[in-house]
Amino acid sequence: MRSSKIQDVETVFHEVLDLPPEEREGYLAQACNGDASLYAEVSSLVSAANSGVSEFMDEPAVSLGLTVISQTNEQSLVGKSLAAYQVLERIGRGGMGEVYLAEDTRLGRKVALKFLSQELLHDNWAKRQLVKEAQAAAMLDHPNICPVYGIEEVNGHIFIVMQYVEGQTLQEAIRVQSIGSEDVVNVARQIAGALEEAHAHGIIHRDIKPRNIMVTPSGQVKVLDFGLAKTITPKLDKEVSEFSNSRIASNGFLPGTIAYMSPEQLRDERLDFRSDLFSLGAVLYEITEGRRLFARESEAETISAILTNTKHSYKRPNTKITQIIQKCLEKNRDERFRSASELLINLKSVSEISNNSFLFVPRSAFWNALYLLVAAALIVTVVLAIRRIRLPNVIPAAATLTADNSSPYVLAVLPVKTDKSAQNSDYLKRELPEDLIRRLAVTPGLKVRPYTSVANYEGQSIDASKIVKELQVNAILAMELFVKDGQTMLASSLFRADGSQIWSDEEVMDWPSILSIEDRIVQNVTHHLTKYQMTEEEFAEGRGTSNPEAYKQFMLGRYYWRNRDKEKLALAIDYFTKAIALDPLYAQAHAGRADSYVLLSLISYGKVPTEEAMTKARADAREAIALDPNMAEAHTSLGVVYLRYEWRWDAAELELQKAIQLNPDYAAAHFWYSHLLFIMGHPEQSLEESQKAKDLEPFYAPTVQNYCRILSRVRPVDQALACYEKVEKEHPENDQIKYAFALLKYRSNQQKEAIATFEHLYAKDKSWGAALAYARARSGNLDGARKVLSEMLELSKTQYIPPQEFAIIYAGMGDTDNAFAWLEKEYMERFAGLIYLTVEPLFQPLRSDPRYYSMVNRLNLTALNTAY
Amino acid sequence: MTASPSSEITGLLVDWGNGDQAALDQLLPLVESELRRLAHNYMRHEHPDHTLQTTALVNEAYLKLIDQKKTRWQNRAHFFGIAAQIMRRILLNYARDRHRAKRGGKSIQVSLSEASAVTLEKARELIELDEALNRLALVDERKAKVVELRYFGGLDVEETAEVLKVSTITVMRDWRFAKAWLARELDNAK
Repeated sequence: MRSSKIQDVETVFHEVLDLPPEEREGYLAQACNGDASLYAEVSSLVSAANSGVSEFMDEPAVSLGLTVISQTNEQSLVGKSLAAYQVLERIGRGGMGEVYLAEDTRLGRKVALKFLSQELLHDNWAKRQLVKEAQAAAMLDHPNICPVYGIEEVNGHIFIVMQYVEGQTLQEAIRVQSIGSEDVVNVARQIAGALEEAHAHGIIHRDIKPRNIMVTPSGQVKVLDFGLAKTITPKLDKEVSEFSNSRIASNGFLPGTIAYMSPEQLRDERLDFRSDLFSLGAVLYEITEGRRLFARESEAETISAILTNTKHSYKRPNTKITQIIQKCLEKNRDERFRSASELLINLKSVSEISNNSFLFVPRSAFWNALYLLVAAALIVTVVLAIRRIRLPNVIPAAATLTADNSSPYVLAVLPVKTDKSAQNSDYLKRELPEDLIRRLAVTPGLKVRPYTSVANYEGQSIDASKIVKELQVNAILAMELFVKDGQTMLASSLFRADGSQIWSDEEVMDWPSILSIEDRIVQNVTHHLTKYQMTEEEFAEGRGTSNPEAYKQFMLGRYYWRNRDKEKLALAIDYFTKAIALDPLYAQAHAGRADSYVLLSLISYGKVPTEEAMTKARADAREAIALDPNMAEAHTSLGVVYLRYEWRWDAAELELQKAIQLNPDYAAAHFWYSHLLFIMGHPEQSLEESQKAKDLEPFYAPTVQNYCRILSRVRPVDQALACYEKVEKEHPENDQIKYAFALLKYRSNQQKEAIATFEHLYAKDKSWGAALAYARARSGNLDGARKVLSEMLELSKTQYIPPQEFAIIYAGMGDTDNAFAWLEKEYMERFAGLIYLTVEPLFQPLRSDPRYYSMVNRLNLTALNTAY
Repeated sequence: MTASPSSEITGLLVDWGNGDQAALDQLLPLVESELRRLAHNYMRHEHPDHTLQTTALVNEAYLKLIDQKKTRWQNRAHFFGIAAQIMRRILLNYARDRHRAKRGGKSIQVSLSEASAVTLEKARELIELDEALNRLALVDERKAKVVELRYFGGLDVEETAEVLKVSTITVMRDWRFAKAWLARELDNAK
């Protein structure tokens, strides 16, 4: 809420609405008795009450809710907290259960939770089965078995907590051919190892199939799902088989997946460990041949094939491994291996005997190859052909520089080097690295320098040793756009500190594939520097949109936003709007547009009324946060709306702190936080924040100017003057800096020089006249001041001039009544300049007036903070 | 269900009515699963385009789960209050899933292909309303509660008054104010 008390607002609100419409306005004015914020609050509520926006609420949503639950088959647990587990997403669903990814908030790690499916929630048999699964798996301790951490019952939900295994199922790996015949021995050994462990504990898995086996990115196999596992004790055995019989009879529910069941399992005979060996044989067959051995059109045919079909064709028959698979697949269990251990011994002999055969692949090389295949499968459209690699110009660093592999990598992503003929090069040069930095920065164990620190290297040839030294990095990503055979190409290379190349690639750069090109770069950089494997979800999150055209519009929007002036800011808004039209859920585009509206409301850019710009900024910022709560940009924009428009200091502080916490390298958050701290009366902290902003954006004029301004408050004036002098030299065309610099000079006994600047600026643009009129009036030249005043009043008919400019002139002239009238007008317009009421030096003549304190109070500021 | 669910649930409902907040945590999943079961059965046995009689359904859940002899009539209102919270969460989760699905979440897409009871626009409306309602709760918690009960739970003014232990006039005033307040927030968000 704004400053009025909710109770007052509510009372007046009801009183007004109870009146006939024609009497409301008059009564409201009277009831508010000059309390502008109460008036604004109630009148906005009254008009909202009549707007019909809330009409949809007249129809309760309860029927919609019931329609939703009656149409969805299961109750999603996503977003729920169960004891210490925060459920994140559903990662799998089977016949009996659902598996969710969750965060164990106590231990700060990801876990997988397995629940009973909705229909079985109250089924005691299923509950017992789940407990039994947990008990079975808990007995086992083996690198190839997914460990169970525990079983919990919370709020009526019973679930198993187990290790979250990243990677893909063997089923998926076979389908996308990331695992094939050359891997079979390795996979077989790992699964057989897992079975050996289970069997040693008297546990039969009973449901060995590719879907229950995970392959991690590093190539480790993990056997999951002991849901049908059975401990061999006569009593239990009987009980379970009775249940499974009745299940088949009652609803067709068959434990296990038929295509991998052993003949004895199908005949519902008593099982022993060798049943698992048969299932493993079927799995291994599928790996070597790339197809399911027993899958048929109908269940009946599948069952028949398992029971009778003995002739299995192989691409390479009579190798040692096919003999092993055949032996697993014997119909008569007495003819199979006697145990998993015996199978393991035989598998070992395969690799030992046939070192040079296709069966043997050295472990590390094999898993590297597998990893690359898995990685490639993740990327949507990859141009696979290997092209001639053209490297950017790299001068190897001096031999004294060492790449320390043990310490974490700090990466510099350089501006894209461009060939003039390359299309889109202008904005890609900056926006591509920006986006890669944003996406890479979230990788655990990798630090990425912000773009502002590398911006200076634009257009320079790459000198690794110089960059390493200046930026304190030990890895460099360099990219180059060039034209080859009429096509725009992007070459990317990753280097170590010593200039040696870690990875490089070259792609055709066209819009439809830009997202996948970025993905590939992100994937390779994270892999080579951290071994971190991003999940598909993380990729989708990182991209922000999956629509390349929306991405293009967004990049253009950001390009114009960065190079902003009045016109370009309007263009930026257009491009962000197009991006949002193409993908309404594009959080970054909303955040970009929010920031553009925020800037649009500032003096230097604005023709748009504050209210319109800020309302739009707020809506976009909230939308962006709703879509992605972790976006520093959006929190900053919202913080600025609170700071500059809603004047809610606490709320502004929360948002800005949140933004800084999310991205300590986001200069704008520090910049605005320094403003907030400044007006709240914490100049030292404010200086600190403004310095952080300046260090992050050393070349951006407003940031540096802000630092100089705060410096002038807390340090000897010489330092501030020197600061301004430096920034003025760096930005000779910037009138804002000239104006601010002159104001400081005016206060530091360099009035002559200051007034010369005021005159100069006024001659250029009459809207800059306030300081000149103020100075003239203070020096006794009231006529000169009035002349400026009347010219500015004239100008204000055609262009927006903030009311405070006139307040400043009247303050200089000693006409406090008029000065406060204009400040009051500014208050009603909620123009942001008013928040600097206590820190703006030119308001000095007003500070002995009671109306000044009244306004300070209405703004929830404190007069004690008055700076000058 | 376990042996005598109604005595357990009735006990929890009475406890909650007497101010035991922990009882609510245990009640929610029990009531939700019953509502789901009824809704499923209902859709299975009726014509698919038949409009769901919601009050009847919640009532049926109430009659089934609660032992009438052991409760005061006011417990019915509390029960509807619980249903309101459940509805809000179900709708919100669903609306968020819709958002996420559009952003490429694979597993969610699968479950959403089964139904799209909520249009994307409605989903956004719900998410915005929920957020606005959370903000309203910071300003005035009771008003937010009134909206939850009336909008998400379908309670009438008297039932709302009973759950919140305030007069019907207060409920009507809260409802009018909250609607205007939310309308302004939602309009700002556009």
